[in-house]
Amino acid sequence: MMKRRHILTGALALAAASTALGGCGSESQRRTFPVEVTSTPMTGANERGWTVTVESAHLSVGPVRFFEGRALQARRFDWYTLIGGTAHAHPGHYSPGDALGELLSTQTVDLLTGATLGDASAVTGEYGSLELTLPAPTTSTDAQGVLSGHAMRVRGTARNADGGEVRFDAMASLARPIEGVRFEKSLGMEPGRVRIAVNLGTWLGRIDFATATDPDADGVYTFPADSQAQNALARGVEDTTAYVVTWVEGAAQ
Amino acid sequence: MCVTPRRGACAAVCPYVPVLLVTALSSCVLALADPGLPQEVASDPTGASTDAPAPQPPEPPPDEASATAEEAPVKSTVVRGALPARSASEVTLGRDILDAAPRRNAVDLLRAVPGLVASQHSGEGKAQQLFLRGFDALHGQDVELNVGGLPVNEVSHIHALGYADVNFVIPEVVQSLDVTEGSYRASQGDFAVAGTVRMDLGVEEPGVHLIGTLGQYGQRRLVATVRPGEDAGTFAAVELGEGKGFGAQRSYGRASLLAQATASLGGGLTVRALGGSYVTRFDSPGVVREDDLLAGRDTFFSAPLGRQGGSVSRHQLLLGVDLPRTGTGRTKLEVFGILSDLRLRNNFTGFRVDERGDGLEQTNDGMTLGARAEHRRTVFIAGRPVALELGLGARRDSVEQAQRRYRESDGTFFSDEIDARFTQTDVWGWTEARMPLGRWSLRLGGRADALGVEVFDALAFRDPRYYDGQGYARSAFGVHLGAKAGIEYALGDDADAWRLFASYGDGFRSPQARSLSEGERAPFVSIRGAEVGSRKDGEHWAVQLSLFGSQVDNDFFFDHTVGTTVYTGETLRSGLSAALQARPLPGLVTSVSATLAHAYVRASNTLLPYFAPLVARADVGWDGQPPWAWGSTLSLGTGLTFIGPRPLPFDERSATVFLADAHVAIRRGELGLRLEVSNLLDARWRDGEFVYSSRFDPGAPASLVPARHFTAGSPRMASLSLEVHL
Repeated sequence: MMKRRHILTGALALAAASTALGGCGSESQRRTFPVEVTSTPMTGANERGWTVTVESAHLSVGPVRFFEGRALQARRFDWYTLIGGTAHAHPGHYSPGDALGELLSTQTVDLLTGATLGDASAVTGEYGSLELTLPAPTTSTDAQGVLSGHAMRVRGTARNADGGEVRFDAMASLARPIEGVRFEKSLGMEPGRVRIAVNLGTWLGRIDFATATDPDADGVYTFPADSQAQNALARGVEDTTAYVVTWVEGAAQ
Repeated sequence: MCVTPRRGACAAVCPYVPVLLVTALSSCVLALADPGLPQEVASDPTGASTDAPAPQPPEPPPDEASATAEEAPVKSTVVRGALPARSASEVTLGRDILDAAPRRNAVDLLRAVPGLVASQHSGEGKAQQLFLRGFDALHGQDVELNVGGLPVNEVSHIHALGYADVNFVIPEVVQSLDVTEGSYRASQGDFAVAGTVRMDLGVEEPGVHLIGTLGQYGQRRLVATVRPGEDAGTFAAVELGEGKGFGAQRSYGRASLLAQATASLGGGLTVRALGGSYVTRFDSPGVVREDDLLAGRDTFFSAPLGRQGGSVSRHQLLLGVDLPRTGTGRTKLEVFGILSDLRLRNNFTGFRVDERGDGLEQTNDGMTLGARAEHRRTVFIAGRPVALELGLGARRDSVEQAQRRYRESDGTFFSDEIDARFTQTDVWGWTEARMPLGRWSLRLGGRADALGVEVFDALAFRDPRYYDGQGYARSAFGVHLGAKAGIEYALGDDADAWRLFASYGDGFRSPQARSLSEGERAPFVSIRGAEVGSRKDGEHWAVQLSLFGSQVDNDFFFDHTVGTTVYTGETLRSGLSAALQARPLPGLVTSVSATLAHAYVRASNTLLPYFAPLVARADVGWDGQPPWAWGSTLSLGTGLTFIGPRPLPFDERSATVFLADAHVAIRRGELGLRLEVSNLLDARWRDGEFVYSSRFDPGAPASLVPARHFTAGSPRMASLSLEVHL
């Protein structure tokens, strides 16, 4: 009888041990984190020699989606290539991979003051990039009409070394979301928030404000369609490097 | 609401033609059957007529054979029945246990299997999703299912590997479930990874029985069974059923016919014929996003997208013969053929992939032809009797399958994704020998399966940017060899003494034919499993306890909801199962089981998603004639199911499920009345829970982060049946 009891006890202990060993939890966990949007001011003259004083900057932004795929980056010069190293015809194609986080709401943000868009629904993992959707606003997302129906709007004054001065009101809309914005982060459950800083210098860096030729009654110039200024503005807004995404430690979840 | 395009009148009638043919055939067989067939012949009409048969006793020495033949095997109080187990976790669930709780469909039958979870997540006509011993067997890839000798798993099925639809089974004609958990027996074949479930068919009472059922949510069901004589295995049965379902997109209609006859032709020659036809059409509600439920955008029983559902037909015939004995040798030959087709529409992701909709229509038309021969005899090695079993067989499946995307707005197709046909042939042989050595018994066996596949993929290489042709044919071949072994030790000399078992077995699963490349050695998924345990099979009590473990080298997890396969590398599973069957008092029967399982990926040390870590089941039934019932027979019974939280991706767990079914019946003479209630406590339970990204509102931004989805389990449902026994 004792022998049978020992056998039974041993089997139960072995079973308990086998089920307790290994395999605890999964590789990823759900979490949320706040996403905020702000801007970095333009410093110095742009590549066309214009120095800009921004008076207002607004952006319609969202959804924001985070992906595991890394953004494509310009390859650094490698001395190794001079002695026969591997040549890269092109850096490849951006592949977003699995979605790791998303914030699906749309909001109009005053870039000079910054704003928190909300909490992103996310999972832990290796983040590589994000996708920014800059949609045309609706009456509910831009009740005051500060964007005049466009995705972004910047007002200010540009001056050049020749004494030229242009008060401008620039607006642009994008047909597609901006994919492949760099955000490389191994994200666990640590507290923090994502900050998207719009570099106004990149937005406005290519514009020759002399091509803004349509002043209104107040002398504020807008950018005619197909003008260099409008095209340069669109390229600046589409430029993925205009959005510097960082993880700010320490914010409460 | 039925929104699936209707077939033409001819197409609607054609599926019934085989039903009529089988009806005629079965009627002839029943007419020819000898009503006075001795009961021992009827006791095992199917015998070992499958490549995964129930464990057979070793051929007894000649001086014991006559005594064995005189045992009354049909219905006795012996818990384990006449077939001794060869591993700790083999179990037979007899008709009395099946009668203990409401059994209205295949799910109700499968729930009685220890440790098995059967989820009916896409309507009444789709194969159940199965979970057993740490495996998420999807629609059958890890559980071998067999009905009366007819294989149920379909190879390389377009919806899921080993797709096993047992909805054609009429619960009233299932005599017993023979369950072999693990893969420790040589007779277990393809898909016997977590185990094998075999349904033996028969009708318990002779005569004609009519059962008419009306229930909530438009349930209507009519079952007629005919058993002409004493042979429980000779019968014909038909089932007609339909219902509106407990929510939108849940209606169904089905018709099934099963008929079987055995006859002794003299000279020790016994023949058996089993035929059946089945057709169904069903709607499927799809899934509900958990966040849509929480936000009030959907209700618990919502069906966010229409057009889902399908139709199935299956026609089958098995012919078998037991040859006259030669000394201690017994030989069985069987041939079988199955025609099956499925048309299934599912959209689990809404508009996530395509603005027009992600709906997939899958069709799978298959024909299976097979033959098997089994031979059992006792040989003597070193003067000791050795029970030897040999099996040979082959099965050829020819399948045409297609997958198209349909537009959610009008159901028209806009993309062809799969258009393929293939033949898949499995030729196998197995042997198993068992040698008793006093209280010890040694068992050794092996199995070889050779798989040949020919595929024609009509849509291969159709990208005009790179190819000027389209379509490609390829073939592959591979062999799987598996070892089986066991040691048994009896702690006493009595038949009901405790016995200890240690078992080992290599199981396997055949690959998806379309995934094979030209000349590739067909890669089987191999599973190494082991088990130690003990059991006691007494006259009124049977207890089993087993500790199991298995290892898969390169496992994969196929998320069939979105059609992606994720290779996980090496996986390990382990667990503990315990089962008790008791018949302590006249009329009282109890079957209780609990299984604890653990499954994880070794490289990442993370849990596999979706498997069922804790499953418990209790079936308790009583029937008798209380003095106040004026000679009527009263039956009471309940079935309790507990499914512990299942691991989901992102460290989440599914909700706990507890279901209580109950019935009460009274019978007086030829008439009986039965009230059945499923989900008596009206639990709001999730039959299936899944995690992936979806987008059900095409006007809203697409949500790409994996989200929780569920399929609603049935609410409390009551039905009343009038039974006539003639």
